[in-house]
Amino acid sequence: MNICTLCMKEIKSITFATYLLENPICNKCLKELNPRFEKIKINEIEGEAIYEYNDLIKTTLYRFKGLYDIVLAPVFINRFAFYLKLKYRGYIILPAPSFLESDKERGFNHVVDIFKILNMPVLQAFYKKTSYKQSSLPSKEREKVKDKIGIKIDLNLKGKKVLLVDDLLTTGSTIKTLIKLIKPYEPKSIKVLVMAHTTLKNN
Amino acid sequence: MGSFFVCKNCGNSDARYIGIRNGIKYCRRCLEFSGKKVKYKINKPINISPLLNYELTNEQKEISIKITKNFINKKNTLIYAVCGAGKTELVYDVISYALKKGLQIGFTIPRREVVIELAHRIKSTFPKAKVISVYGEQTDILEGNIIVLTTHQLFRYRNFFDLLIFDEIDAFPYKGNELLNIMFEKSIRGNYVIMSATPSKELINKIKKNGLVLTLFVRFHFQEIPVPKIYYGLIILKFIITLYRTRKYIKNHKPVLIFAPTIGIATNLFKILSKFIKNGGLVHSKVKNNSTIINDFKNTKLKYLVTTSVLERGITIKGLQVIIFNADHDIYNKETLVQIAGRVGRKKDEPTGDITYLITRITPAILASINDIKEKNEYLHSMYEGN
Repeated sequence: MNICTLCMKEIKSITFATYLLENPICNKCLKELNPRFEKIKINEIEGEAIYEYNDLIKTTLYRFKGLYDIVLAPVFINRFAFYLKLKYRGYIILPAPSFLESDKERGFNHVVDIFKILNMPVLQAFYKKTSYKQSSLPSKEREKVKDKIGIKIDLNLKGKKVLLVDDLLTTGSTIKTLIKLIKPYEPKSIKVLVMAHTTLKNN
Repeated sequence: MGSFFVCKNCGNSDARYIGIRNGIKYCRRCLEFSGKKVKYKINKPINISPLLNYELTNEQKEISIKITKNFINKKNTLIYAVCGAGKTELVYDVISYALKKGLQIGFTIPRREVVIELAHRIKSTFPKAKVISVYGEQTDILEGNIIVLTTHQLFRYRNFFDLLIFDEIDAFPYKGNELLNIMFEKSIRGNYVIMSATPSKELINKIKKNGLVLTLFVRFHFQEIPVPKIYYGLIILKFIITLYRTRKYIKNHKPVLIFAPTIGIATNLFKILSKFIKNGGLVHSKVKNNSTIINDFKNTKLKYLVTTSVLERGITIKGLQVIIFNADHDIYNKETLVQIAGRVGRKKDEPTGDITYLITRITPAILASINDIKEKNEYLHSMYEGN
């Protein structure tokens, strides 16, 4: 019998997905995760957020990012992988940056790993100049993020389609900065995909 | 093949709970129990007796001495006592014995809110001892003379406690959690004392084999435990009874607790009730400022509270009256109902009160809970007749 990757209880009601997916979750957890595919717009760039931030996403992200439970990486989007692959065919994933040192300590990059299951080309074009945690900053400070993110210079993105991805979207300042940085390279189209949309209030 | 893996922390070898991180296997089952751990050492002996501003009853004294004797004989104890019997006071004697020997003392309860309150209570009883509380948000200080902690923090103390007191063993989230049970057993170095008002038969049998079961079926003020009253009715009638009774109690300056089975029902009930009666509050696990609302209720700023089973245990308020809305709901088993009914009449000055069950059908749990309370009351009568 399979167990749910999130609540670790045995999956009682077996569905198609529990057979097909490598890390299945039970229906109760799926309902609690509550996928909504909310449309978002940042600086005229269209995008979507799969979930709205809630308690289960918070604890799961903590387990994944804080306790290094790498098995959890695909659970957020594996159910929608097929749909997302179709929708973003031909796109290159550009993950939001994380500080190299913390990636080393963790042994993986969490944003890359969440979207790894899509099997799309990934280009780590951005990097953080200094270590900072966006979630620990007040909203005014968050605006300054543009000085802290850098982009690799020798990129050939002209005429290509790029998909900017991140795990959490709060004020949108990180994504805004990424858009600003990527525009000079003249990609054919830019889209945004984030795992969960949060508001500062419930963070 | 040949890659057999057993978790050092929880003993898990089930492949379904094992993940691989950078080529190294790790156990996912006990991942949340990772963090700073404490090594055993012997404390400085402290010579103090418990400071109480009231006298224990003869029954309480008798049982206290039995517990201490049993602990000296290196045996485990289960205290089976009714709600409001004064269970916490029973272990003061054995705690002061262990303090004198410099042993490591732990006091563990599943619920966080109770840990905070209990730590204050123990601190005022043993002012010279270093009493610390350890729970989710407070894990900086881990060592002291008496460690009050949630069951979730037991993993930090492996093979550590010479004396571990475990209150409310049948409470959520400990109940039915295999992992916490393992952590509990691994944290014991010496012996444990378990306290419960509603122990399961398996637990009683388990302790009987290799320890002592002590019963205390009398409240410390020697009054009967109030027996619940049942009212039948459909939803509107139930609501009218709730409204009428709450008003009556408030007129008589009595605080009222209204239990509802689910968060949804509690929210809706409160929405309607608050239109008729002011000065109410709503408490459930998703409300963020829970503790301030409960404090307001204790200070009689709020006259009544609508709540879910979060408040089923560990709350003592003078003159409290209880209404259980939909007591026939599936989430109410015998233990929960006995615990909720046990909130009433816990103070010496006001040993009586009303418990009202509002139901549309009768369930086995309702009958069992009423029988349980009546049984304990009969015990009280037989004790008087014996004298």
